[in-house]
Amino acid sequence: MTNRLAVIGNPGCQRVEMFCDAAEKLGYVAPVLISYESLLSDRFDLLEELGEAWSVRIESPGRNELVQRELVARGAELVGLADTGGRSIPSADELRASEIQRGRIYFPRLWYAGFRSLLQKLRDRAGLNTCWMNHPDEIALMFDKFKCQQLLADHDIPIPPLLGETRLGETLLGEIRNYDELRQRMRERGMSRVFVKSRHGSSASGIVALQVSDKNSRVHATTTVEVVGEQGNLELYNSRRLQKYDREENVIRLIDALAKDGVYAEAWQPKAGWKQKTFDLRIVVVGGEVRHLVMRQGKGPFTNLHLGNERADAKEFLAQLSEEARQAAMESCHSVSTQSLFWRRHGFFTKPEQARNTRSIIVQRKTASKTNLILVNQFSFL
Amino acid sequence: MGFYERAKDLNGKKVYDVPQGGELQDPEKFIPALRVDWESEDTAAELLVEVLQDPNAERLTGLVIGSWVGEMIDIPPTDTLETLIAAAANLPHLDALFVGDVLQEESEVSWIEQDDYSGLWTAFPKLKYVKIRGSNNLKLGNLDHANLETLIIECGGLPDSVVKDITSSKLPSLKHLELYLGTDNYGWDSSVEALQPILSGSLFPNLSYLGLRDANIADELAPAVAAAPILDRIKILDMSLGTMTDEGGRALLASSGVAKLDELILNHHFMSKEVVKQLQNLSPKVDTDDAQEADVYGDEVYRYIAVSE
Repeated sequence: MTNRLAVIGNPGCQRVEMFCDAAEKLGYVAPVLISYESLLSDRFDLLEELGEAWSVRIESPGRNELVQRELVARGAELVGLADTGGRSIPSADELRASEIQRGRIYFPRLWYAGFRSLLQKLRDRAGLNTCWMNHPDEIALMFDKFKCQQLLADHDIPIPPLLGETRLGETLLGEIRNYDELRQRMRERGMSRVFVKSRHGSSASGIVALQVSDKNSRVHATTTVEVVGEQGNLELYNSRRLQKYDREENVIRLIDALAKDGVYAEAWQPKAGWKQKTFDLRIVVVGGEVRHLVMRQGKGPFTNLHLGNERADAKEFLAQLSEEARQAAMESCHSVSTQSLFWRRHGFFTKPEQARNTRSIIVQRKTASKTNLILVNQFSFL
Repeated sequence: MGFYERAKDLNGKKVYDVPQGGELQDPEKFIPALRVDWESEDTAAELLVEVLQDPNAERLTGLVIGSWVGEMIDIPPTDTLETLIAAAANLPHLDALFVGDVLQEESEVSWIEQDDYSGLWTAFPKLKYVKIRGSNNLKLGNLDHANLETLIIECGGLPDSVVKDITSSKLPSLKHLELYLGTDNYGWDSSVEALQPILSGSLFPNLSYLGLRDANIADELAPAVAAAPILDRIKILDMSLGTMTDEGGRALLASSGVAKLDELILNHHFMSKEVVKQLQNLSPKVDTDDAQEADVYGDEVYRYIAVSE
């Protein structure tokens, strides 16, 4: 009965529905849906009911206010005040009773603590032979961008240079606690353009592209974050319209507010341009072969499609590249795929026997002059 | 926003990147671009020294300078320009130069540090085509040049001092003058009044193209341009990339000088369909592509030029 499937997600979520449709089309019995709501009411017995020979897929807990609120509240129960940037945070019960305005960046560190603990429980309560299509530990890792980068760097998988303390000539990753520290590190590293990223953000949430000029005392931040309210009572929102801050006091306010939930900084690698726009490529490698390409084009520093950017014709782009450049790009994808599979198989997350059927998804960015791999997301497939 | 794609050609010739240690291609047909990668410790000046060793270097007809250092912010192209000027005797055929083929992703255009070009004009008397991107600390100096036909300055805001350099210049051969006026947020501190010597026709007897592009003052500028004697001389008027609304559009519509042009370029504008339609009925070829819509926040209306931040 190894071909029976379960999916953990929010009912009505498009990704859940598409997964179920795809499974049925492939001749599987309709997957069982286990909702986050039920897991958050501690009904882990659902997993036990599944027996031991199920493949379980974990989908996003997002876009469900109740689930989001409960994860944040759980996080508040787990995380001490010291871990929340020293600010006073509402109690778990207050958080449970609160209303989350649409688009608000709402205690991402608490949310992450809550989500991670749920993932850990899932892992611990599942049957011994549960086959995870995406392992809870790996999901927990990927929702901590900073830790994920660190892991990749430790395994010699290329990432953009990170801003931090230097140890033995290597970049040791350190979080940026505030704007002053960020500027200090930039000065030490001779960097004038950086990306500041929320540790637990996704889809360009909590990302700031920052450039500074010491000579001209100028700063310029482009970000998806909209800062609302006064000092001491700031609220941060995700905006689909890029926000620009040129006054240093506003940039300080922004970075300091984001830093309370954890941020790190990395070098701003210039993206390449084509057809009067900036672009990047996301490349999926399956079984050592490039199987899927997405090319995203835009005019700002971010290329996320929900920010008004567009898909472009990757085939057309590749066709006009020199054979040499195309080969080099594909070779780089292949090499990262091989490397990442190797460490994943021998890594500490997955038992070797579970890793046997894994594939990797590789996210890759083509920069101005060469191909750099910025992020490797690991997923296991059936 | 800004510039997103590197120069593919310059003055009608194809541009190619010269990698470190790379050989020059046929210098009469192709123009090399010297640029350094963002992580690189090299400089364009070093690349130039290397290129000058190439046996074909003295046949070079053009040169593109991209990012001159890896970290562009605060660094002007002084070393590159000095090297170039010092090597002038070895580059007797150089007639096209573009300094600042730098993309938005490498440096916002209004953050590019420029330099003093005073020494360039006497060092390279055969120059026909000069394009400069970036206007911070840009000085053109005493611009007295018998052969220069094309002058292009792309920037986020053109300083009054540069406008003055141009309006006090002597460029008898100039055919193409293209200026990005920009916005006062990024360095524009000049005025319609300061541009009058260009508009009056007292300068540049051979001008056929006038570009006053990317202007935040497009509406204010349009009536002055509409009444300008220079329209009798030029064939192409380019006021694209700015914030022109119906106000500016109507001023151009009413101009007898505009009606006599071959071409009127107004793409990236904020004009209504009605005014666009009337403009299209003029006898010149009129480009009104890329119509923009103003952003409205309550009582405030924002219109953005195409090249800003």
